[in-house]
Amino acid sequence: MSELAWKTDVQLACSGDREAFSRLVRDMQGELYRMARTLLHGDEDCADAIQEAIMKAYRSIPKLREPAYFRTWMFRILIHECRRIYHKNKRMLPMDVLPDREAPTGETDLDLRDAVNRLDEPLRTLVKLHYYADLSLAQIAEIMDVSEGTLKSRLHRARRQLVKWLNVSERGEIGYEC
Amino acid sequence: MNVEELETRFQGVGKWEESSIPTAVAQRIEQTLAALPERGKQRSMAGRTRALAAAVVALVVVGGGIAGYSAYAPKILGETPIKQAAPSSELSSDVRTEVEGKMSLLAINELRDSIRKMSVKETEVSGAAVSDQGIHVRLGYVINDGYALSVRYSITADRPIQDFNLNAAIRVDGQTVGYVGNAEEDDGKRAIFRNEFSIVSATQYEGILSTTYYPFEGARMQYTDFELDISRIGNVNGEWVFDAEVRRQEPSLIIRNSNETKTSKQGVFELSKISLSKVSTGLEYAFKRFDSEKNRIFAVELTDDTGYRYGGVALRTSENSEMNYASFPSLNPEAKSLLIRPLYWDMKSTSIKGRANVESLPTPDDPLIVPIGQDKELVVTAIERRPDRTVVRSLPTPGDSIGISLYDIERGKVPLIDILFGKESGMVFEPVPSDAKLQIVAEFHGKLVYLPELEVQLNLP
Repeated sequence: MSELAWKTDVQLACSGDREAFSRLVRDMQGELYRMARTLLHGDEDCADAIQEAIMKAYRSIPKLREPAYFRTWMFRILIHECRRIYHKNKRMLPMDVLPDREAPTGETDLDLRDAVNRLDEPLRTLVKLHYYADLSLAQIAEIMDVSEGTLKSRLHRARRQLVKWLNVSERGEIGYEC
Repeated sequence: MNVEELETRFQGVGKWEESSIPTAVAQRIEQTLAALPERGKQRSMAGRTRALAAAVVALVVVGGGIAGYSAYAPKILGETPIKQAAPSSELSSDVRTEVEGKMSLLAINELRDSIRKMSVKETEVSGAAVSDQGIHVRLGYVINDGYALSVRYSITADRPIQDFNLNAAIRVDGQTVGYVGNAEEDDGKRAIFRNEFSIVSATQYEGILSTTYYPFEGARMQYTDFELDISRIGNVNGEWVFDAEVRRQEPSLIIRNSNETKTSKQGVFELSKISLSKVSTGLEYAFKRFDSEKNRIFAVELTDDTGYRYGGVALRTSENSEMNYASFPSLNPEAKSLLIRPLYWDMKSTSIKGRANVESLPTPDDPLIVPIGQDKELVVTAIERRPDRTVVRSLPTPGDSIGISLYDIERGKVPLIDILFGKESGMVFEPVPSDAKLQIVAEFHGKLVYLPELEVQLNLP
């Protein structure tokens, strides 16, 4: 979609045009899926998160104050949904149930992946967006509505925690929670 | 392994590629889009919200005690009071009236008890708990009635906490709706949450975060995703993050007053509904203005028979009796009646101001007098320099709109963060360094003219 068409559709969607809103969602569905896939394990969960995000965005779009931020705003809603589903699954699922699809393509470092999943929020989301989705801290700051300085500090803390866990894991002193 | 090796290890992890979206996910997206409701109903509400949002009034004055905020379009509250079941229609009208009266009394007394318990933080705190840096935060109730939000918390620590206060952000449906303490820069549009806490011991604190002015339409939804992100407790940085789905609570009691219409030469004030919840008091009204003076801003102030002041909200005018909504703090449990006082602020295009340096902290017996001019003055009775705030208290200036600013002479203007109403009135500014030399500036903005012809008094059960 051209930039002009995108801007026009955002304006239309903000003023209540359902079809324009649908075109915007279709245009960014690949990005939405990749973002969800970075934060969740299975496609079913991804579909749930995207569905909820679409519905919430549609319901809230009349109050989107700055249409230029539609994309960022949509990602923010999706991340929020992903985190909610992640928390819910963590509470509900027996921990020995494996995800129905492995984490990012090509990823073979299972220790690292497990360690990242052990991080608390918002560190986990930050690490996944930065390292798996390859987003810059500036992009993440915009999406998560926090300053880059805060993200740097969180990333530093996350790295320190990961190093600590991975060192322990390499020495075989502790097993991850199952 | 060190951090550099960790970075290398991450570089070896495959990134998500521009792969196609799985059919099942794509289908779900299409199904979701196809099932989106028509916009008709939603648009009317949204349009109204925007129209009202554009008319934000941001005046802060004392004396008359008006804080003008944008009052967003109302979500019409449920027509049936939650606690009040309708008595059987087979009853005679006298008995029916008596039964209704007793049920109203029961409902309001229950509400009074709840508010009383909330204010002394007697409610149980048994929700989710998060620990970081040896500080354990537990969440109690989260009450959202669509206009106000109140969050109960309890904190215990392994070691005494220095300079207890919280820095936190509060999000609803992924959007930041307010801050506590100095968590982020405030852009003037987001509600500042109050943090009222009790110190049980050096390692235990019981508190409530609350806001009455809640400038976010999403809060009116039946369900909202609530997130509390605490980044600092006392002098300890950390992360205590809570995430919960919160159902909107309908008001505990709705008092109808549908035929209460008052007229004066300034306009017609029609009060259609008063709703009382645990966290706010709402007025549904229509105001048709006759007065065409451009420098007048109309407002409504709420007080009660005990003298408790709930603050003031700018009135919105409507040409065709369209109802507007004004939100105030929750009912003072001791109140037996409410007084709704419309007024206008006769705004002066050029204001006069005076200033006075704070050489010593004023007291009620030895106040600081700030001369303003034209025989007007502000009498400051206290300046409280706390770690988390600076509170300036002054005597009322009935009938005059006086703005108060606080300056740190060497560092500049101190931002205003809150206005206290009710029993504890005052202007709350950000904390100032202990060595700061302070100056108070008082500015006369015009007269506050109450309109007794438009007043409505409401006796509570």
